[in-house]
Amino acid sequence: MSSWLVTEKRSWPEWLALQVLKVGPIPKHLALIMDGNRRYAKLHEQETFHGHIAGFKTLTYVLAWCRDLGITEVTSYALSIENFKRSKEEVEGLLSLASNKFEEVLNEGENLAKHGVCIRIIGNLDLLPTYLRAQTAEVVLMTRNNTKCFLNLALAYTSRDEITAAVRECAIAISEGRLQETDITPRLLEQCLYTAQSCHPDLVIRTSGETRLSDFLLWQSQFSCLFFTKVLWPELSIWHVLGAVFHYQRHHHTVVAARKQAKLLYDRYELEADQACSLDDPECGCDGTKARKIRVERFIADLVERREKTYHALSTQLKEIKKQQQESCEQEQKSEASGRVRVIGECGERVVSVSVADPSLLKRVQQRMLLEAN
Amino acid sequence: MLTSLSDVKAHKTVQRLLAYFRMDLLLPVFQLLYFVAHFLVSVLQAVYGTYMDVLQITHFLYQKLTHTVHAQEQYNEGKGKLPEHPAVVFLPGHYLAAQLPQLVSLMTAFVKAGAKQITLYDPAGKIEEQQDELLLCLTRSLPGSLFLLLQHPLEQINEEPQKEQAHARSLVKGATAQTPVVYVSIVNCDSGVRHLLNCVRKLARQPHSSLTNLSPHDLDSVLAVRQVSNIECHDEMSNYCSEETSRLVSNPSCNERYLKNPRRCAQSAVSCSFVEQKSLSCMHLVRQQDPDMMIVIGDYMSSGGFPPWGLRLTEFAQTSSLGRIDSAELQNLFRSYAGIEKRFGR
Repeated sequence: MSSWLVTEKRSWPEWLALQVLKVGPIPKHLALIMDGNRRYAKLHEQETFHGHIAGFKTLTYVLAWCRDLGITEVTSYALSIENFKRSKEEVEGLLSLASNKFEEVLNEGENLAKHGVCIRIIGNLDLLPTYLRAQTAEVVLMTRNNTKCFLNLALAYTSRDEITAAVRECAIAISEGRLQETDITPRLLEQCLYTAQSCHPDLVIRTSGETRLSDFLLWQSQFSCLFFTKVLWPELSIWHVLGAVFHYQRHHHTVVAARKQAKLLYDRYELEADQACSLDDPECGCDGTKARKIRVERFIADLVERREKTYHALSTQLKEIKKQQQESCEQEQKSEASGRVRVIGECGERVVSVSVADPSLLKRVQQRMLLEAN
Repeated sequence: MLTSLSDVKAHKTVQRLLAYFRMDLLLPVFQLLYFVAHFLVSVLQAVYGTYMDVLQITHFLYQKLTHTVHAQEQYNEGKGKLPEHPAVVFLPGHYLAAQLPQLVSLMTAFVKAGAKQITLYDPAGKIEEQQDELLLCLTRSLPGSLFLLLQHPLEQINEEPQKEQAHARSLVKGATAQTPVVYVSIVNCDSGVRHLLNCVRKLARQPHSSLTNLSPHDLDSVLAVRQVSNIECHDEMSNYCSEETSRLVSNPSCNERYLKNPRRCAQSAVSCSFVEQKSLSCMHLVRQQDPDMMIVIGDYMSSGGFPPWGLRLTEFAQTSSLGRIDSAELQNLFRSYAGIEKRFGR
């Protein structure tokens, strides 16, 4: 079974390149658009599912390289809302792969805590199956206290959906009177996004030669350095990542200057909001500004609390689902004794016995066995 | 994190020896190598062009030395569509007022290739200062086309509607509803953000039930509505204008109150330059499409603060300066755009 945390030694050229690069500025936050899994599978005359498994392996290596470089935060575009348009078979394969990998995360909680890895999930979780949704909540709650490095997985995510959710929250708050129209600023909108706890990505890497963002972190990557490379995602090597970081280092000062200008612009909006607040009630003066800050803080705290409650509710749901699964397993074992079971699948030397009522489950079981073999 | 020489793949005996080695003694060596690497790449960039060109050469050499399989070409030269809405983004310090003729020739090339909207983004606001001159030059270079300036419809919706200011502009002599219309949009850092904030405030006035069901499509409909600057319309053009507006009004996602009273929602007029000048009398609304292609003029690839909502499927291209985009380069860009396979998530 593959692990999320890969620890391997570097060759002499890799080690030297890493040390040289670490002399210069290292991006704190790297965003990845992992494109090219299906083309990789086609190139190697394999099924699409194999491409996604190879893609996951590459992700684990990239995380190791980032740890070696000192990149503390990585955001990865795992599943877009648009990907649900793919064939049912492929979508189910992707979701089952995600579910299995999250199950591995839940089993190696101690290892993750030792390395200080915090996993966050960004996206519209309502679009995911119940079990996967519950697993993501459990993973987030389990790793929330780890603070050395952060992995943000975008699942059922598009940037437009994220911005719409933030706009919806703000508009509802205004209509309910919890916020005023003048309280709305770009910083407030950012705090409503799924990535509120993260800084903006410094470097965005997209593989497979496509030169678009495909609705990924559109707001957050406004001033990021974009790096498009032709290599397919499963073929990505450490040298591609080092090349991207080197490119970022060459333009780091320009990126920082652009960010500073944006910060000044956002400060201006905050000042305008404060002034508008004072203007609304001239008798309040500075108290109007303080009242605005209290309103905004309450709104954000309320939003965070609602999201926390959702995670806890999903975590409880996961425990119930697992309990039910255990009970049904025990029942199946009893039915095995009655002789109704027959062998339906083989994977290498393994033979699996499962009671099948629906023949369409055969392929899913084979996929599961393939995952376990890897 | 790699902190010592013991992290390197080496024989066990060598690793034991390396563990005693002091890393800080090697730091000056790494610093020297770092600066040498940057210097070499700068020299190569001066010879071959952009960093990506240098990387491609390096990648090619690496594959030759290590006998690895070449990465598959990711695009084919196809006969797809050309971009209908290109955007040109200038990163800070990469647009000078003196470059206006080059910008005009680039935009002319876009229009000849079939572009119907062109967006220009300049964070410093220099293009905005030259917008009259820009539209005048465009009209002179393409006298058979009508160039109309797009704006965000409402800057501050809390203000009372202002009177239309009559600016003396004109239509191209003899322009009719058949005259090809090209919309030009000039954006800065502020415009996209302010427009989004105003849309949030506007949405907050809608019923609660419609807010809870707000989808990206609904928000897109609100954000994409733009106002054409006040222009004079003679009879044929006024028919064309009202057709455009009625197309928007028929979209149920748009704010009905706003669309039925475009004149009440007027803001200070922005001029658009044409050959002859007459007084302004009407305005209309259009739906701005997302940019198909974005050409970034700068040393690295970045959207540089371009309003993010429209960049969902925009194809990026980058060049270091406006002067480098000649007709051959533009043909390459169009060819590569035409060959792109858009999967839309599938």
